[in-house]
Amino acid sequence: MNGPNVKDLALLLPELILVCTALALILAARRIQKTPWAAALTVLAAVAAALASAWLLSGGSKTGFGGMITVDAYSQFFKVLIASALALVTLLSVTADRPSRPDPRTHRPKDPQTHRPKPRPAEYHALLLLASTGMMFAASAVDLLILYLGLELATLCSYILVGITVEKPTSNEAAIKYFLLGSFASALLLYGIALAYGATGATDYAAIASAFSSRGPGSHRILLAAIGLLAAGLAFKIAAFPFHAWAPDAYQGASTPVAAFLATASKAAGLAALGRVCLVAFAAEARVLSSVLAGLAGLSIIVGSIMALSQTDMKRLLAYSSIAHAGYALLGFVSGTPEGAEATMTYVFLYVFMTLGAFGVVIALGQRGESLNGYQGLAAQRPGTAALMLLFLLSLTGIPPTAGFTAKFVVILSIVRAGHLALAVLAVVCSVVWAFVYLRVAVLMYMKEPQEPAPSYFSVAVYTALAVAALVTIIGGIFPGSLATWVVSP
Amino acid sequence: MDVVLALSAVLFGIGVFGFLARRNILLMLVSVEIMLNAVNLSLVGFSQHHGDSRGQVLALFVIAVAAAEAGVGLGLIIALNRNKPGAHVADLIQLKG
Repeated sequence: MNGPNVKDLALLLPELILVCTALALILAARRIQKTPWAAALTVLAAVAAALASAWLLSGGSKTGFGGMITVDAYSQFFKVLIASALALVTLLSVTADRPSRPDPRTHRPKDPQTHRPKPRPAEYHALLLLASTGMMFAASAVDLLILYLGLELATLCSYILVGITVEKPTSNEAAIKYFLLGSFASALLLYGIALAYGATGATDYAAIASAFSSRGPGSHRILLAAIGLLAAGLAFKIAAFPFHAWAPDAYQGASTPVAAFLATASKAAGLAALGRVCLVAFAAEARVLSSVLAGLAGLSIIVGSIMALSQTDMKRLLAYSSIAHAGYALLGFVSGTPEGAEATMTYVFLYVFMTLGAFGVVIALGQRGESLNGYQGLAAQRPGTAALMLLFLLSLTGIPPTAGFTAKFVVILSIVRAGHLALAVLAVVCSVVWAFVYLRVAVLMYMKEPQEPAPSYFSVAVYTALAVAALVTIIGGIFPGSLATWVVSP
Repeated sequence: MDVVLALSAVLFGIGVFGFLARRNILLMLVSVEIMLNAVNLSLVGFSQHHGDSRGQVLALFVIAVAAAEAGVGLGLIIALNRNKPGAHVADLIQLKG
């Protein structure tokens, strides 16, 4: 193992781009008063980071910083995905943070101390950039220390993003709930890291794996505890059952673009980290891991589906949808094979775009989009928006020829090949439940009379993001093989 | 070595119990800090046992992250307090379903 080297910094080019942009935005926060400026800079940085990630891959896979960071097809796939999610979320937040008027009920004019300055748009974008940086580190980590630091950077920024609308009591509440459960889960993850270090004397994945295989599977109780705690900590990041309780509250209380960011980029990073931990570090314990992951996946799918049936708030509905989809994505890791991991990667990629699309329509409808009743008669008022929503809902259900069908097909195929027929049947049955949940919205849009005035038209940025999401959703469904060359397991 | 491990496991257990049993947000935050310090103790113990410094480096990073986490947490509690005084979990009832 060589020590750190200045040349290794080049491996972190995408992260450096994001961090430098974030720092520049923080320094210039006082001067940037208009959202579009900060948003344009953020989108540029995200595109540059995505290009840099793809470019770094052309030199083959490398490791740097004494074997703590790796640049390979797996990490760069997730970095491009996280950067795209960042760009789309930034576009979607252009209209969402209209100047916030203080709520008359909570406004206390007597006390000058409670008068707070308006949140600056640059700070919001800097936090998004820093959170994405942390996620990229988590995707690139081949050492438990970097994994922990990356995930913490991402979650600490996410807590603030959820609570950034300080004048809204629901936002405060959502942030506190997310923070308490999140820091508890981080402590569990950290104890898992400490136990893994204690049992093997190493923190990098390769050394942990060799220490495992020299000892033989299941020989050490501490290792099993470490696996359990690490799985619990990472399951929280992707909001899988039983660590999902924060997601509906956080999504409902946060502003919609932040909820979209948590549901997509954060979940992709968590799955990237989980995949590498399972397939590289703890590969010798594949049997234990496989049953743990099968349990997490199956229960997430069941609980997400059942809870979604009774929701009347669109963001809560999408939160339960994201819980169930985390379960579907985990199915690929259950088999513990490279093919399974590739299925999960395909699933996550397509899931990110269709979910961003669905959140995008919610954002485009403004206040009206947040409750299910707001969708009544939308097709009569805005046929284009309603058709887009229908596309994303069909895709989330998994109906061909949309991307959602491709995604569900590959993960279910991977568990059938691994011999988990019961899980496959469960996954298909719950898809039927989801068809009911999503098509209820479609029925409201197309078969009810409008109750509210038509929503106003929104900015070009939102429509650009929606168009990109729709394009990927359609292409992913019609040409299911188009992703295959990019998807390479660790 | 076993004594250090046992102490850290007990501390971690106290932290978990405190987090689950307490209903005041500040005390829950304190419980999480106890859990993190239990982890630090075991990291340093393991580091001593293996005779390499990796665990101690990790513990230093954990201290820094714990400080950042406490900062963010207290900031969020202050934001909550400005809209509604009190730091009790029972007040967090607006989001449900």
